[in-house]
Amino acid sequence: MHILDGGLQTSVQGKPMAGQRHIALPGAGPADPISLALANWCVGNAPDMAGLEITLSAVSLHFDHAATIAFCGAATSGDIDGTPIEAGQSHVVPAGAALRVHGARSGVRSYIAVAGGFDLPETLGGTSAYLPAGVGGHILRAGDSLPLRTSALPDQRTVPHPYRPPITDEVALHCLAGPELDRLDQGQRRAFFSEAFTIGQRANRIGCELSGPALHASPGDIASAAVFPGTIQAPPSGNPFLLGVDAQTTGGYPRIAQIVRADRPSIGQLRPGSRVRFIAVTPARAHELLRRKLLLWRSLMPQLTL
Amino acid sequence: MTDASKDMYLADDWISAPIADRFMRLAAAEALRRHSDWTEVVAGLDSLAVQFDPERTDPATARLLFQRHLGGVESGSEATAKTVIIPVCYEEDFGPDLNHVADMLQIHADDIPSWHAAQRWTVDMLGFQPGFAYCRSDGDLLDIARLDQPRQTVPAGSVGLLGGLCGLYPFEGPGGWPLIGRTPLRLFDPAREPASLLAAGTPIRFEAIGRARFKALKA
Repeated sequence: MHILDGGLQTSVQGKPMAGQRHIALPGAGPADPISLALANWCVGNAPDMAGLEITLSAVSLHFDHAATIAFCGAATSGDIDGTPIEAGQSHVVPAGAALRVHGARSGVRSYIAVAGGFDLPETLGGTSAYLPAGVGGHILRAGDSLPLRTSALPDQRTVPHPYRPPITDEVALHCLAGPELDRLDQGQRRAFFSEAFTIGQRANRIGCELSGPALHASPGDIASAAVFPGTIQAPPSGNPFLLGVDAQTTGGYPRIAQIVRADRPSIGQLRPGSRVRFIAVTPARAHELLRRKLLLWRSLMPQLTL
Repeated sequence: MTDASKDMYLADDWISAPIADRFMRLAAAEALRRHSDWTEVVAGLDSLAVQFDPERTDPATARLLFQRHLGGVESGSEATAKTVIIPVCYEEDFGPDLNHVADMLQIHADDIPSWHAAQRWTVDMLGFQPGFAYCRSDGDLLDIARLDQPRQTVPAGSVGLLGGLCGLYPFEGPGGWPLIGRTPLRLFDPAREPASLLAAGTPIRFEAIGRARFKALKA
């Protein structure tokens, strides 16, 4: 498979590199693992098999051999040599044909899965690219090629309707109080949990800047401490920063909130201009939200983990 | 034993506790890494965090386990890890802020290599980039200020000083630490075991090398 046009940012993302945060290596992995898992389901792959994560704009790929593919996530349409195809179902790309996945009208990221997956080695226990340091892979551009594993052509599959959540640019995210939430005064805390924030232009796999009511933590820094995907920091600019899958493992800004694990896949679909609200929950409630979300998705994909 | 339990922070899949004492913190990090309950163990500059699999452990149980595991840690009073020697070339193009740092330390720029080599350093934590070590000196260090304008590109191997800390950049990238030199060593290599040359708790000594030696080691 050859990249003809990698669009804004395309990379291989699958199983995250787990257990490496103590050496300051985040796991990377798909920013929206549910969409990757759905694309994999369409072509008969395990949910965390590595696929291509594409970002906002259209991409095109050339296949030397016939392959079964599917794409899911923000993009809704594509074409094979000009013949329109839809997201959420498997398609056969004939040998020598070009697959195009079109740009996203809402949301950010889509995942292209190929039956059998890519024939790539693991890096530190994962099959994902950590782009800021080029560990496990890099941004794919025109001219790059990826070897495919041979696979029998699987049956045609379409994601059933209850499993097609609309990706919107108005999102509510459940979150826990962060370790330094008390560094905001009462008015700022109330504003954080009641008003909407807008995703700024600085939005990528590392994180997104939020604009809304200005939040000034006092004191304004902490001794560097662990952060995780979904941690919301309050830097001195007054604009909170929501960390994504490629965020560094420690930070020196007050941690005012933590998006619950169940809602972290939604962070991967926040685009500049998206509106987000934060709903406060307890750790026990967050645990229950994850249990319910897994119960729902596992009725389609029993092996899914989040 | 640690005093951490009362100020513990609990999220739905991670917990942290303040542990101010460095030896206690590093001993705890090492001990907790051996427990399969924790999927990640991350030392901060004055805290320790662990992540857990919420499908195996609910938050309340994780908190109890974390408390129990921390309670069982004996402080290793001295670092037990082997000292790593880091060769550094302090030529001016590798250390563009040598004069700036020398002014702040009130020593001559030519004396920076011997001053740097004379300190005993220990890695306090890794962060910022894969394998980026924040090293603390045993002696009292002056608070060295961040550059007013961070550099867009700091070369891999650069050695910087900030606050009372010395930091080593494994990767090229932006950075705001005043730079005094560069090491030819590969600080992070995903194909190597371990991938990171340095770990929290590693004692370090710096050794001045010339440009020829730098090139030879780099090759």
